[in-house]
Amino acid sequence: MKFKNIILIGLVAVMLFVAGCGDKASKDGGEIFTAASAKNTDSKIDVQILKLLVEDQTDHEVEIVEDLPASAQIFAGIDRDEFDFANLFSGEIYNNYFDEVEYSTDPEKTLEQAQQYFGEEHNIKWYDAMGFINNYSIAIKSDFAEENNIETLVDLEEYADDLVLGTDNAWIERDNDGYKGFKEAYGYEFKDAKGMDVALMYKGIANGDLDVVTAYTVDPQLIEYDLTVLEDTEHFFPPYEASLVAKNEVIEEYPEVDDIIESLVGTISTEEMTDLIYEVDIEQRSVKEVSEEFLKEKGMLN
Amino acid sequence: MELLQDYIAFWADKYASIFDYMLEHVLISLTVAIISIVFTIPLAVWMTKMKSTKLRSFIFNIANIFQTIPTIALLAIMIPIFGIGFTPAIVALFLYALLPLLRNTYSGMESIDQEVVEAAKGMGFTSFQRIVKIELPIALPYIMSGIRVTSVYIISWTTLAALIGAGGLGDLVLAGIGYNDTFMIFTGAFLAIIIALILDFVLATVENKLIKL
Amino acid sequence: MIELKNVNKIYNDGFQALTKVNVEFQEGKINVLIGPSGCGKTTTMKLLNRLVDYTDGEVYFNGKKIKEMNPIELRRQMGFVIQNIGLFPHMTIFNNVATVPKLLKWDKDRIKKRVIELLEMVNLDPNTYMNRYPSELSGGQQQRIGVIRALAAEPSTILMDEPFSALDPISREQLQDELLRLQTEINKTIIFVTHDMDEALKIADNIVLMKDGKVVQQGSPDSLLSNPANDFVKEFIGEKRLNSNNQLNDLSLANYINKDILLVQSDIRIEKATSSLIERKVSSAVVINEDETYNGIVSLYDAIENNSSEINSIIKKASLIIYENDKVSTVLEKIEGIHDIVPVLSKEDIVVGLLSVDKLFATLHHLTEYKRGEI
Repeated sequence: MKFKNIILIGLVAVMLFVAGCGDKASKDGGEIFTAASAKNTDSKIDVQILKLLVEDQTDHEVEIVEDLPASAQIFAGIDRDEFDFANLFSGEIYNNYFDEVEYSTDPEKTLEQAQQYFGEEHNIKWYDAMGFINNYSIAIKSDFAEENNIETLVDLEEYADDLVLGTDNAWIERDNDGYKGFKEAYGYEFKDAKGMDVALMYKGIANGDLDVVTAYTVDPQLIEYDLTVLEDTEHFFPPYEASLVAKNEVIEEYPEVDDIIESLVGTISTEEMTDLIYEVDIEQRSVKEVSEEFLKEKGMLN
Repeated sequence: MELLQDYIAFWADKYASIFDYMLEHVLISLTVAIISIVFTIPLAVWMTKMKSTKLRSFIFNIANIFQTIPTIALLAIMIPIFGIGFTPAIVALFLYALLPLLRNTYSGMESIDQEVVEAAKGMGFTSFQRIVKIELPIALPYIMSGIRVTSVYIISWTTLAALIGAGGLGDLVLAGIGYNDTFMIFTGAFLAIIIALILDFVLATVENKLIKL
Repeated sequence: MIELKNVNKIYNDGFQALTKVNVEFQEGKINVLIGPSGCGKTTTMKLLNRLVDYTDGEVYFNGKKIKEMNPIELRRQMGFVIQNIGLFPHMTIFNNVATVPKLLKWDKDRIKKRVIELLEMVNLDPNTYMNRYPSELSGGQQQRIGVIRALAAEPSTILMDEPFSALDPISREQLQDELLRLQTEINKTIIFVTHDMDEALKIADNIVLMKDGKVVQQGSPDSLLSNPANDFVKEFIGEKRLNSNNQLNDLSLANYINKDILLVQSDIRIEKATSSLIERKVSSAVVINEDETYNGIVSLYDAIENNSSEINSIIKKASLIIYENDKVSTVLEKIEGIHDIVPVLSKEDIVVGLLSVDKLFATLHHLTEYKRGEI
């Protein structure tokens, strides 16, 4: 992991260097923009869709920088004029960035706060949601859920004492929407909670070493390992609605790009995104191919 | 000043879990270090005595291969066999520690003047006596430097244990990255360095004591 | 006693290191194994403590077949000194010397006493050196420790593998002298490997000369020098050494007999003898019987002191008499510490003359100068 990150940082550095080497024009005489994505596949698909549409409808080109570790690195890139666009999630607003932000699990309020605070802080336009939600959620094996008729997180309580939770390394440490908050909201805790790599977390539940995992709602592993997401009846998890963001100075200068991004609002549902991710992560197809196919189906690309 | 106050507040808030992470980290590192030493040093000694150069390079190649397997892949292989948590972390880190310790001990033993070995043989040491009383003490500086280097590696690598649910300071670093909390990242990294320095100091002291014996 | 009978050594790769080696190492003597490199001398030595095992033949140690002995125990009964000293660098001098006694589990007091005794034996102050490490000692001092380490457990036999070859010439000479001195005290059976003929000639009681895994000749240094078995032996010993030895043996005693001497009859009066001595300007005369056989010697000093009439009262026996067909080398061995005149007699005890000591030493001096200059 560490090693991989070093390579990533190196790659990013090389890319940034190349990108910074003069404002070269695109083939058709337009601009060359840079779009940033974190390492999750849904973000990669989002910026790929942006790239495909921009390059289809304008003379501009878009280069993609992928696999950034987290949102903080994306914001840093934006502030340093290295990225023009990015895919981000509304729930990031509760990620320790602003002291004055009011915690809420209401999707609209969350999105509004993200648009307001991040917009001002980084001089960006935070568009309305793409349509899919990539929330934290809690999932268990489907057969276990069916056997015991567990549908909601409340139903899980009576079994919790015997269940081991696997989660990413951050969730245990998060304040409002982490394990601490969960225990307060639902009033129970698991036998043990272990932080780990997300890919290994799914292997762990498949292997029977874990009973409960914190999944993202679009994770294709939910399908692959036959897991059931339990209903968050207490509305504990804050919404993570995906939005594209763009630097204000870019869209002011190139309003055609602003139009394209606006046209993407509300185009991809959570189910659709899960299918797309499944194609990429499980079927091993390329992001570009899957994105193109999707846009063609939607009639947005010829 | 404000930063310092914030940082103090961070500690006040989290000291209990930081302490837990640190304890886990030390426990994992020391377990790996002890298992590697107990296993690898006799192995390296045996390798210097073995007649088959093929077997020897085979062992070195195996140790080498373990080093080159990407961490996440190695950990993924571990899960079906060892599950999640402490045990697979120990096994994976042990496999990583194999090569540096093996190499140092092996070259330490190889560096011994053959005249000295011959003298010991000719004076009527049994093989075991010769290894314990003559060869290991002479190779000690090499072996200890191998142990010191490897221990520092192990402490650094132990941050990877967080990937497989074994906890440790890696948890703090990764949580800090995921949660946009620089204090966590800094504290995790800083404490790992401190542990490494302390262990290195302890081992240096042990080395001096042993050499004076 | 150690005896090798028809020993062959063939390595796994088919190389025959030793062929039908028959050697007897004499008890209480310095036995030197010598030969050019690759001749099998070191291999032969290492057979004895089973660092190398032989293919066939038999090696006997005090009558027992060594193949039937436990190699570890066998080694502890033999001291072992190796070429590059091989002191244990991580141990003090005390612990180095005490190695084998410790392996044999001697009690502490006995070990300490023994180490001190040994250090004193080679003139190294125990208090100064006991707690030092080998690296703090000079090469010569280190090899002294190497030698006494081999002696520590009082083995009957000591194996020395080119022990002094890594030392500078001065230290080497000193250690050779010291070994000879020690040997007069300890009388061990020493097997000493070297490629240096001067060293062999200096220290050996018995030389075993090897070539290509075979024994070419064995015997005392004298016998090798005087009767080299073949051209290889001659060549290996070297013309110069053979010459200087032959020259010494070639020297005829006849050249060193002073025949122009004063003889007096045993029945003359002292006055007459005195006047003859004064007349001839010599301080001593040889007294002969009527049949010209040797009777004794008189000195001018005694003659003057004593005024009695008969010469009988002042006749003395000479400290040394030699015969005219004695070898020069034999004479040289006897002559040390003799200050009288040395009468030379014929087989029939008839006085031939006096040994000309000054002339003999002048010749010897010349010869040794020549030899040193050549080496």
